Amino acid sequence: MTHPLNPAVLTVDGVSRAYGARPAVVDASLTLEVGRITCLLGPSGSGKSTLLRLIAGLEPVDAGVIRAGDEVLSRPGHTVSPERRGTGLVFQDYALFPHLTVLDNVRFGLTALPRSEQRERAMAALERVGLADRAMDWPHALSGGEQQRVALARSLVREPAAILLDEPFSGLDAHLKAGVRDDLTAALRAEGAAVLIVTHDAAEALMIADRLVLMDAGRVIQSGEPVACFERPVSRAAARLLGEVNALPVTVTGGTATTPWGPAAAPGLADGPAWLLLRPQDLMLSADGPEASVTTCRFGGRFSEIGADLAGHSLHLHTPGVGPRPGETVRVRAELARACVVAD
Amino acid sequence: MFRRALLATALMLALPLAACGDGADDKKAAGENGGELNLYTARHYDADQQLYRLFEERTGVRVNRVDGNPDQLIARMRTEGANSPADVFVAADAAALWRAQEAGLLQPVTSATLTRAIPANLRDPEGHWFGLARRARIVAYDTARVRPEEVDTYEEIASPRFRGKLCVRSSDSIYNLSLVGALIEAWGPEKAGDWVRGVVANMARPPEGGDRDQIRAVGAGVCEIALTNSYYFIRLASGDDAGDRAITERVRLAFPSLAGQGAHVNVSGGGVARHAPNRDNAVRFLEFLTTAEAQTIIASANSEFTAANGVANPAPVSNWSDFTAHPMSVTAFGRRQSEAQSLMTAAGWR
Amino acid sequence: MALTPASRPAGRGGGSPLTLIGVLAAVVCVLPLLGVVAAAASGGTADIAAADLIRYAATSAGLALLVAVITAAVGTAAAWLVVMHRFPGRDVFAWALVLPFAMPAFALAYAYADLFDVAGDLRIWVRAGAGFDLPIQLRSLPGAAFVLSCAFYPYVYLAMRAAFVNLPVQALEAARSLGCTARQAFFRVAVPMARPALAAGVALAVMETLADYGAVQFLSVQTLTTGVVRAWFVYGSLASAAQFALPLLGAAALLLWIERAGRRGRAYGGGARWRPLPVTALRGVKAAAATGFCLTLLGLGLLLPAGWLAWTSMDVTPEWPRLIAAARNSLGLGVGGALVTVLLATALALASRRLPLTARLASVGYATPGAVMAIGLLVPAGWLWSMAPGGSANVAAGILLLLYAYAARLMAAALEPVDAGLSRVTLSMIHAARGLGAGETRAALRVQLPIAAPALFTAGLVVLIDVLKELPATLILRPFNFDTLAVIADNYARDERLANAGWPSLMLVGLALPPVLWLSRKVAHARPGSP
Repeated sequence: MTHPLNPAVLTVDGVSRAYGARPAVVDASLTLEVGRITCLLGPSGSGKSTLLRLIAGLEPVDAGVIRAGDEVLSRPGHTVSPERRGTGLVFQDYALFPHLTVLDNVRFGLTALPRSEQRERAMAALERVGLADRAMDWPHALSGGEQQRVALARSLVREPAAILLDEPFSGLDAHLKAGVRDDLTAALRAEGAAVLIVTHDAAEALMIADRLVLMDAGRVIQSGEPVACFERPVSRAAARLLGEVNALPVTVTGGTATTPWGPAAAPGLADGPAWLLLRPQDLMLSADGPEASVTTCRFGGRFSEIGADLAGHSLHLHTPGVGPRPGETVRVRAELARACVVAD
Repeated sequence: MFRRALLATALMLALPLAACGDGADDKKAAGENGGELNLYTARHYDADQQLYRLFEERTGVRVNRVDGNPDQLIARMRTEGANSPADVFVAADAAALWRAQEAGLLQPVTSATLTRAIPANLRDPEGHWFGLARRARIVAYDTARVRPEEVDTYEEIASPRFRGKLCVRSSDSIYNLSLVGALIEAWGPEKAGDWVRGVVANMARPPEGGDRDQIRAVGAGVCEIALTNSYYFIRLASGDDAGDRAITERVRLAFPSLAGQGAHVNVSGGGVARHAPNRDNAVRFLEFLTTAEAQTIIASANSEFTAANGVANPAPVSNWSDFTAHPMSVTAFGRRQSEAQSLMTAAGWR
Repeated sequence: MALTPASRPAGRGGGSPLTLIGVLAAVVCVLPLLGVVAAAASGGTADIAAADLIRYAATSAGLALLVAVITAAVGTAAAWLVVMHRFPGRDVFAWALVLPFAMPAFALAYAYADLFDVAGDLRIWVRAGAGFDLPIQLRSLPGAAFVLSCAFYPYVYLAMRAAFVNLPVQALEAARSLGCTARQAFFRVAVPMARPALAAGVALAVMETLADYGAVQFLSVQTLTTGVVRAWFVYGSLASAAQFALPLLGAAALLLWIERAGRRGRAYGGGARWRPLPVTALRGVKAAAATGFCLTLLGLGLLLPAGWLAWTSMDVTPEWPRLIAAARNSLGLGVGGALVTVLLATALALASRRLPLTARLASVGYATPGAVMAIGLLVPAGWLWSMAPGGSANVAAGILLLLYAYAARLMAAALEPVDAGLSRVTLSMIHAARGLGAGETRAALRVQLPIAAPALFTAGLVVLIDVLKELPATLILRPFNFDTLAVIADNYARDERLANAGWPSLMLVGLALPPVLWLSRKVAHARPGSP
């Protein structure tokens, strides 16, 4: 059952939503494309779950438009109801219906079809997620990962144009995550739908996303390819969303910033104060470079985490093996080519 | 929330303590005078309160009362066993008294006052219990549709004349059980069985409600005759409710005759309990109930007929007390009770 | 109920004082039933025809079935309206629909029987005015089913309201995302998920129906209880009375099991933040219909019968001293009963974490018919009376016996909220207290009890209301010169003096209304996650 709207693209344009005086989403825009996985990444309270619910039609928008192709799905004062949007939804806790078997759960949304076809399609969907042999079991008898796959099959069987997943991996045991993640993304790509995954886990988002959207305090602060977002964040906040980063205050003059390791390119930035962003892995102890005094050092097995003070600024870096003791003076080298200068 | 709950609980604790407190004071006052009397009574008429108060005034004996239906009281007395504080057991039906006697819960009493006052057929020959008030189980009929001579014998009640026109209460009622018991005693089980089957065939509706409901049903035209105890009718006729009195304009009481000897009469009565701790007070109480004063109160306040020899029936009961009562000994009712129940059950009298 | 392995502290064999008290409490509650079984086993049969017996059993079953169906439909509809919609008066109905709890079933029976009596004012007026008679036969099986449904629908209403309020919104949203309209989502997902709650509520209503003493008798409906009473009283055979009681006990045990199973069904997936349910505002005819429906329920359950009783009692001057004394007794027994029962229930709940069987056994009394309990209660009564000076004249012994009877009968009603309250205290909290040096008893007293206190109070309210309305145990066990309002009302009714029965009945309702109000407001304002 291909949805009649069958959009190639789902567009969110300048959408806002507030609860009373508290804004949850402010002027957010993004695009979902067929066959691509988009990850919405942000800390808790950043509005990403709200944005997902707006796209699903579970809540109305206060401003902006959500479109599927040419059709308007949401705008202020008009919201197409969730069941008519062509979006599938997979919740954080899977929301399987406890009073139905796995098979009945999967064929729940197929009531428009004759019964025999419902069964066929449901079984096919279960096979695609590898759970055809559990069709007659009850949801509570399944493990977390299995429940998630059933929830996915339940949404996929309706062949929606877009699938929205809310923190799909947060409820899983750590050692299971990798495997489930791989299985899930493989299944999703095989479907060819547009996928939006909401998550707070940066590593996860970087690994599975074709496109990354970073949110903070209700706003979209950056979107693009994962590598681009990682290597060229637009702000300190965006950089921090993707991992630990050192931010050193520097001054920009004429498109170049002066850093303890020499000049760094700062294209397009106005003269004045700015920030130099360096990931811990791009700093290393070496024989040359500016001096810094070690404040903390924690041995973590493969590498040690070092906190150092360089000319009044604190730095975090890693070094393989056992590191220097606190109080020692060391020299730090930086891979400036991998650094980034941002205005904020 | 916890503190509020605690305060509320503490406040409410004061209540039961207050309730118990009053009881204790009363008891002290009683003990100082003439002693106590523990009365287990299955009569639950308000009028009896008058009697107890009068007795207390006259003798200074405090009356402690527990009421309930006769079988609950009997079960309780049995459970209490030899430690039972019951002094007097009073019931509203002779069969209940007989049952208490059979269960060994009553003791024989020799009292010249009692044997003189109560006719022999209204008491146990060995003095285990004495009848104290009479009631007749007779017929209330619709004067517009029934002539008095059509209900002047008990046989006629079960005759085809009244097919579908009779209202009567359930076979559970001890009053009905005693009536059928009397019929078995007078006619023998075969004829009594025929009568019972005739009554069942004559029922206008399955038994529901009490005697008063049957009388009112006659008044409403649901049936033409009803079996009832005399005092229910007399209460309606002489009570405060104008609507009830209006019913008794059209519905009248008839006293059918059993085997030509008179209407079926039952008694309320009492006996002294086997392990009575206040035996003398118990006998005094029973004797008190046979005095003219007490008999008059019983008759006028509860519309029953007097049982004691020589005591006239007061108004309003006197309007109906001029009838022939069957001389059968009331001890027969209890003896025949389980037979009566089986007969009625077999005939389908619910 | 949190009698799951996860919430039980590691058992190390009994022996702590709390466990002992708990086991004692269970034994105390179970004793009357053991008395019934013992009486049944002592042989003897009554001459009750098999046909009659089958009729009694069929009537009991029919009554139970009718009440189950009516209360299920009515209670669910009311809960659905109140939780998922807005209409005029909805905020009031949310808690007011529980008020019929204050009216004892026997008072409802008196009121309706009198109101619809074939020779009563109403029917006479209708016959005179309309020319035909109302085809209402209240003293019949359907009539009794109607009266009991009016009395007991609040059980289903409360259960379903809690179920709907606690519905995981995700499930409904998931259903919407799978193609269901809001209405379809309700019927295909919300209602099936609420099924355990429905079973629990209906089980309670049916338990009360089978246990009823007074209303069914008054309406001349002959159930198994009639058989019990006949065998005992008319044939004097305690043994056969007890034998008839056994199927009733079996049904009681089954119903209890259903009710428990229903309560164990937790709200599915409570991990996410609590979101309010989507609510539809009703307008026009629909709103009027909703308000009318709720008003009718409240009217039938409380306003109409209470009003009729008041109307008929207007001409009667009550004996105030006697009624006030009885009111004091009712209240005193109610409060005393509540304290004793909640205390025992707390001990039982704490002990049942190691020995779940104790709680289950102690609860059977709740579903046991009054007449049957009376048989069983005579056994411990006999013991107590033989030991007390003055026998059953001893007021203290009498009151103690009554409190004991109430505890035995009402343990299940108290256990449920008490257990829910105690389970708010997590295992970690208890271990934390133990780690800080508190012994098991001290941990219970200083950590579990204060946290569970609001729930304990709720349990006390429930028992208070039930004791105010209690009849069979009070009738047979009370000491001298000691009447309660229920007893006085019953005496008058059996003497066919309904006008006099109105005053004590109404006073009873008046006493019961404040605790019922308190209880229903607590429940109305409860949010998921709180007791």
